[in-house]
Amino acid sequence: MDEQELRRDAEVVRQLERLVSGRITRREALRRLGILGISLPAASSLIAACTSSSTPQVSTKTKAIIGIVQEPTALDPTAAATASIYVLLRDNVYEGLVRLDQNGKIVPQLAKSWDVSSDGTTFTFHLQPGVTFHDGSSFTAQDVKFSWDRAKDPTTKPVNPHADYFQPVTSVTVVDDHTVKVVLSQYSDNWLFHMTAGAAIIVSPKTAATNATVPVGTGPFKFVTHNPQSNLTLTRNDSYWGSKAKLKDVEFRFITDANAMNNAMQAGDIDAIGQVGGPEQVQSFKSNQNFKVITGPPAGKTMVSINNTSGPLADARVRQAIYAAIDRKAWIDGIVSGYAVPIGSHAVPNAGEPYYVDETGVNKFDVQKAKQLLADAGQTNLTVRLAQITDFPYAVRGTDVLNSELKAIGVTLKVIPMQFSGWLAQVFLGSQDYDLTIINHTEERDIGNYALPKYYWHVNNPALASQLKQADAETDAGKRKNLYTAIQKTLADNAYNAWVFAGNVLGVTKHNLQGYSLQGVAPSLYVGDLYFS
Amino acid sequence: MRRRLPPSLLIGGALVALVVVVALLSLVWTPADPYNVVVPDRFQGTSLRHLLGTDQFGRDELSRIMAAARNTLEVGIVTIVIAFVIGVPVGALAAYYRGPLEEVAMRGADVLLAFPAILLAMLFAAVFRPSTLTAMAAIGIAFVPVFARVVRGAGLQVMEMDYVTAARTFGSRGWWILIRHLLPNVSSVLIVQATIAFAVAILAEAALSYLGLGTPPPAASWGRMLSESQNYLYQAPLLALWPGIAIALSVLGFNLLGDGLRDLLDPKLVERLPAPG
Amino acid sequence: MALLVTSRLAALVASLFAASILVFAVVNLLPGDVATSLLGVNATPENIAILRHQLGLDQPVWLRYLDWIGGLLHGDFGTSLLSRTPVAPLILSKATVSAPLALLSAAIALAVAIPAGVVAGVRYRSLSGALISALSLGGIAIPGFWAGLLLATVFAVQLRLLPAGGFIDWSEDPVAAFRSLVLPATALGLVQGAVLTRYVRSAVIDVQREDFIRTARAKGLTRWQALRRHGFRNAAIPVITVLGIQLTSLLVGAIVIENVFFLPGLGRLLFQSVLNRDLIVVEDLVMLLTTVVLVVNFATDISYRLLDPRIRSSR
Repeated sequence: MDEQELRRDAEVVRQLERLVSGRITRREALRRLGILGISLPAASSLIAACTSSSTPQVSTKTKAIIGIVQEPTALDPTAAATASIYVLLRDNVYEGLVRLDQNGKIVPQLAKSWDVSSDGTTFTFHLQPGVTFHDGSSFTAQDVKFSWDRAKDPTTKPVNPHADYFQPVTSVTVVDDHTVKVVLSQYSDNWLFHMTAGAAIIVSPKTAATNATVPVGTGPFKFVTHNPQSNLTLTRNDSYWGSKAKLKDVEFRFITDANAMNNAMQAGDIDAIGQVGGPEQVQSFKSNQNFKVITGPPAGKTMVSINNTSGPLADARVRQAIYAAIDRKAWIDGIVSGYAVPIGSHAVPNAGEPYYVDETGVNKFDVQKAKQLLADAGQTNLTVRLAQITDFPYAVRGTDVLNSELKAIGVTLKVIPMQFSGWLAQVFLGSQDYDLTIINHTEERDIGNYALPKYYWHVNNPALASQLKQADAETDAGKRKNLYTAIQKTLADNAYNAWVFAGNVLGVTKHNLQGYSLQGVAPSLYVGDLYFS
Repeated sequence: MRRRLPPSLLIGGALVALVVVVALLSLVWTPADPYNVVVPDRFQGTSLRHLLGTDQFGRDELSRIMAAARNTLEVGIVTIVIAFVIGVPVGALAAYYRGPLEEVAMRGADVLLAFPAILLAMLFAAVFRPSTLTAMAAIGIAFVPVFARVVRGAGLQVMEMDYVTAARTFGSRGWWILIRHLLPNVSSVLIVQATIAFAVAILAEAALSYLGLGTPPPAASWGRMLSESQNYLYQAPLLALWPGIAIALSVLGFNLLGDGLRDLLDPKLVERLPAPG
Repeated sequence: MALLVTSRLAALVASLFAASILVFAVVNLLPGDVATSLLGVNATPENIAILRHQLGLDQPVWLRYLDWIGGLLHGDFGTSLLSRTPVAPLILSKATVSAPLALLSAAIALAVAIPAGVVAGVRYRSLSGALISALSLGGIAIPGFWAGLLLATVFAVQLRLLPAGGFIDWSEDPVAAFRSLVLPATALGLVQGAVLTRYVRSAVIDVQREDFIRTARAKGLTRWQALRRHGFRNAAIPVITVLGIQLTSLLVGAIVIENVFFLPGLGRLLFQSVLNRDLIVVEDLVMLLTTVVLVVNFATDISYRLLDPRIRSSR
């Protein structure tokens, strides 16, 4: 190789570097390579090889479109419990004093730090200075007091869907503009965790009444428009108090049908599937290098809920028999294509529920044992009713599997289909007349419901209830963990319900979308860190 | 002179017979238990053991197609019976009594006819429960005006015939006239109408099951199998083919049979049914 | 004649009133209410009772009926309890999707059905007629949503010619809005077209048996000339009637296709409102549809009577 050739190669590399670092355009690079005597096809393939390499490069694309399955009803998380309201708006538009990251850890938000008194009853929050709401008014301790007093008050119109989260709160006092003191009747380990919920956001007294249609918060994005059944758009808040969002615009597009969502993703209409309708959907994206499949921590308890006071189900042996008929692996593979971990009690192995212990060994899949338990209980030709929710695919699929599994132990399943609204009215509230129902309890740290005899499971165990109370009030982490361990064992031993699996949180994005934060353990789909490379 | 049977009648009849035979056969025999879940065997291709492969739960697809044929026939038959039981008397009474009764009945029929069947089914599924029965009731009621109008139309003609006028003058009772003279005259048109309605009912049930308002699990239904298979297009594209073919063939069968019967019986008054959404 | 119109008008008002009671009664039979939908699975019964009271859901049924019908008479469609936005603009914005979709699919249906149906009808004894007939039967036998999914797979996912679904508002980008309606309208139009082909075919067959066509042919016109001059206009009447019915039912009845292509139309609005028990939206929509149907019936009835002296005298 002569010197001239070497010099030419060095020049080619130099031009390519310029291109990659963004100093010259692709066209300019092509021209310069042409001058250096490189043929057009060779030059373009050289350029393609350089630009597609792993060197991260911020793209000029400033808008992301994210497909969402469930549409928010109103836009105020303090007024309705529909998950999608806080999924889209919490941490993006609205903020609280604390937030839950995608792994389930509590991190500071509008409170930069907080102190807890030694008895655990007094929380002193130190607030971020220089924060303003999107309408321009400044955020102070007064707004915290206003928001939380309002959330606790049963006469608020409409009532806060999680007024119960504020039940331990005795008072919220303004110390100064940037300090708030909250006094609890007794320590509650779950209280601060619950303050990461959508229901606990801080709103301005000026806009509280109109947030349902025009949300105003302190977050990194401002609300632009909401076209029902179509989309919701946000734009960057350029006067955000923290590190500003990387993208200028974000659009949440509502696509209720899983196939339509897939098609939209495949066709490039959307940049990410925010909520993956069914895990089977990700298979087609896994093998395609244009897409990324992100598997997050498990979240939500998918279970066969049992009415513990309905006829033969009051007998623990019958419940254990039904539980023993359930093959968790079959459910996980058949219903969620393997994207789940088995669970054996009312807790999930993620940072949100740090008290989790593995109880899957208690009620193992064992057809012989199930038959024996039924025989011991004196049950032959048992028929149980299943209140089946037709709106949720996992509940529909679970019905097929459960029917086959119960048949194997000689139990007949009578399916009573109903829509979710009907389910809420008949099974969850109202007469609560049902035997079994397949449901995913998505909220973290909801184990306290086992202390409520009127909750639709009808679990009436005073010893368990007082243990739950004790555990929540325990300030010592080690002792608390021991209490929760005993509680989970009691739940599993009695087979109050048949907990089957916790599905992994999933996301599908275009290969060049970075900074994606999964929603699932975290209540919100935080988009502040999104950018295109 | 014997008339040659129309080819549509033969082909349609054969297809319908196939559906009926498969449905009846599934009562006593299917290659495998159509409801038995064997998850490790899921998404198997066609083989000697599973002629059409297995579905997302490892159930034998052919067995499920066969079991679903039963569901399809059930939907069709119950739907037609509902439409018959309500529509025929309403139409007959309207033709016989005329006046305000006829006015109210026919106006109601007009409104019902213009009302999308799928909307009716949606409300039914919400008020009662989304099940095969509510779907059948909704489709059946949506068919009522068609039957009522057909019977009324034929009834008006019959009532003006000389022998009916004669029977009336001789003091025959109204009901007797209706049964003795009207029904035989409308039977051929009703048979054709019912055959075509059957095809529409199959399509309507499939659409409802697609929306989750029709046949619930664990029962097998072509519409539901189709909507479920669409989630697994990547793993098992053929699963989305079989139920679709089954629907198309049976709908085609009933339509051809209806056409053939029309050519054979030559009634003039058959009404078309609105297609489902 | 004036008497006839007056009596028909009175009947229309009476039917509207009866329909409103029926609609309200049926909708209020739905189990569950919007309060439970709003509060979700971790709601306490106390919270639900409070919200129910705040929303006025604990008032007696007749009072709620009067409230609703009174509002309607004043042109007030009420406010959705779920999204807390007024219902009228909500319905209007959905209609800007549903109405063009219905019209476009009707246009496609006609474009398919008229040539196919006429040829099949005129040559109904020949092979080409039988072939079209068989094709249209095949078209009817294919479920509409299946056709939609196939179209989406081929034209959106594989070829990327058209969007796979979704809708961009007309005001934002009219071309994109139109493009997103092409596939769903084609899916609907082809199936409706297959149905319509059969109507056109039998209308054309029937009209050929009429005396005036025979007379025209006896005068020496060819079959096509006779049909063109005298037949088609007569054959069009039943076809237009059917098309009218199809259009009305498509307005709200395209729920399945709207779901396949996730179009924000009236059908999906209704479907979602029923699922969430947002009753006022359901009541308004069903009542609106009933009104359209009744008024269209009224108008056709009157115009038939005005146009056709035979009908005028026979009743």
